[in-house]
This record gives sequence, C-alpha cells and structure tokens, in this order.
Amino acid sequence: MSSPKNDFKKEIPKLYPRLHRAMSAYLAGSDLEPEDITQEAFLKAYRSIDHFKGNSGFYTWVYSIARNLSIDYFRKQKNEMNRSSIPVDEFEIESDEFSSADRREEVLLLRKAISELPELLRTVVVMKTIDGLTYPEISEILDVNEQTIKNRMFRARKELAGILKNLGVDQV
Amino acid sequence: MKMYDMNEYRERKNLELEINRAADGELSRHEMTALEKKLQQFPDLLESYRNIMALPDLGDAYPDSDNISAVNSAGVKRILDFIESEEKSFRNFAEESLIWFRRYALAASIAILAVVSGFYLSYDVPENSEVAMEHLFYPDDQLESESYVLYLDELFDQ
Repeated sequence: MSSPKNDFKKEIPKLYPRLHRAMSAYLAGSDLEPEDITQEAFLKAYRSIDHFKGNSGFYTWVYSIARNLSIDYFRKQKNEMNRSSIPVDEFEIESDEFSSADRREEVLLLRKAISELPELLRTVVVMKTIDGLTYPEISEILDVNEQTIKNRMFRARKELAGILKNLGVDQV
Repeated sequence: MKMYDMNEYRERKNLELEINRAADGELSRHEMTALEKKLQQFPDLLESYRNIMALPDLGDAYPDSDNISAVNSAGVKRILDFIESEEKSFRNFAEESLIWFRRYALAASIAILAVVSGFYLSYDVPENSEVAMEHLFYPDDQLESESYVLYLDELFDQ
C-alpha cells in the first residue's frame, strides 16, 4: 500500500549515499560522524513524515534536517573546534582511487580548505559543488533567497582561493 | 552613500554575480571575454576572477567513488532495521491493546450491567413515575414528628 512512510522508506537506499557524501564534506574536521548525522536525519524524517508537505523532494527535506541537527550540535558544543588547527591527515580518504601521492595530497588540502570556510559559506559550497544542488534547491533548504546564495557562493570561492594559496596549493 | 558610490556598488555586485556564473560554467566564451573586459576597471575583482577560475574542481574533493558502498549498505541496513523495530513495537502495542480490550471488554460490560441492575432492583420502585419522584425527593421517614402526629390523632379520637 502506498503511503508517504512507505514511499520514503523505499527512497532511503537511493538517498543515503548522496546525503552521506554531502555530510562527509560538510562535517569534515568536526568531531561529528557523518554516519551518525545521516542516520539520525533519516530516522527523524521518517518519524515526522506527516510534516512533509511534498512541495520539494525527499532529498532536500532530509538534507535540511541533517543540517539542522549538525547546527544544533555545534550550538551545544558552543566552541566549535578551530578547524584550521586540524592537521591535514585528519581529512581521511577512504577509497584507494588516488594512487598518486601528489593527487592524494591535493585532495586532502582541498578538503581542509573547504572545512576552514565558515559554516554559512561551507554549506553553500558543499551543496553546490559537491552535492550538485541547484541554486533554487539550496535556497529552499537554507530558506534564503537565491541572490543571497549566489553572493555567498562568490565569497566562498574567493575565500577558498585565499585559503588554498596559504596552504601552498598551486592552482591550475 | 553618495549616488556614484551606489552605482559603483551595484556594478561590482553584478560583476561578482557574473564571475560566479563564469565559475559555474554558465557563460559562453564570448560572454567571458566581455566580462574580462569589464573587469579591467576593477583590478581587485579581476584578481578575484583569475583566482576563482584557477580553483580546482571542488567536486574532486569528494568523488562518488569515495562513497564506499559497504559503508552505505551498512548505514541503510541500520536505518531500515531501526524503523522496522520501531514499527514492530508499535504494532505489538496496538495488537496487545486489542487483545486486552477484546478479553476484558465483555467482562467489564457484564460487571457494569450487574451493578446497575443491582441498584435498580434494590429500590422498591413505584409504578407511577410521579410517585417515584416523590419517593426520591421525600423518602419515607420514620421520624418522631410522624409518631407525634399519629399520637395526636389518636388522642382526638378518644
């Protein structure tokens, strides 16, 4: 029988890898585990499925839940860890795709640079460039108008360029 | 802010958005050339443009292949198991409640019926409802006043 709960349950295997990847990027350098937040977000979404209005897709909905959970956690922690002090090695790479050491190093530095962005900018970068969400979708998740999102994206890119320069990364 | 400052501010904001579009790959080669020409008037923005366009592809930082399928499968399984156990406990509660209701609803009904009947039978209810009401509001009393009235009646008879 088709019900929102059943429909959502069927979508979980498809949505999980995408959200997990986005959360890995968003939470890199923090002491929050992407697995924990991703699972908590799915369970919370499932329990409150009656509040899902259906204006957007399940993904943007569960994404905003995951982000809110993370922000709640950061608020509780109050003093979010100073990410720039985290050594590059902490940004682990799980796959063995990066066979060359240089390439691996470059990816680690890129991860570190993204993690050093302030939350407001980091979340936009992750959503746009890593998760591939559109500006209207990001605007819906963050509940901020598209123009502001685009401004933040410009600032984020500008800051990233500066951080990478400081980390000594030769840009293309 | 003076009027010319405001215009410059707007122009800069527009150029920033154009740079962003260029970084998103939304501009044609012709549009890019036009943008670079406009940026000549704003050296700081031109530098930002060059730095931004030189950024590596940020999507490379977390490639899809890095998303280990075993980790994902385990995560999905944990969520589905959790949901199932929650549903199961809810189902158990609902079923249990139904069993208890079925088992004891009949007994409770019989008990209530018995108590009500008991009350009803214990009353010596007169047939006439008006009399019944009178009985209810002015129950027979065996008080001394009634004995006294009877005593007076007998006395007068004598």
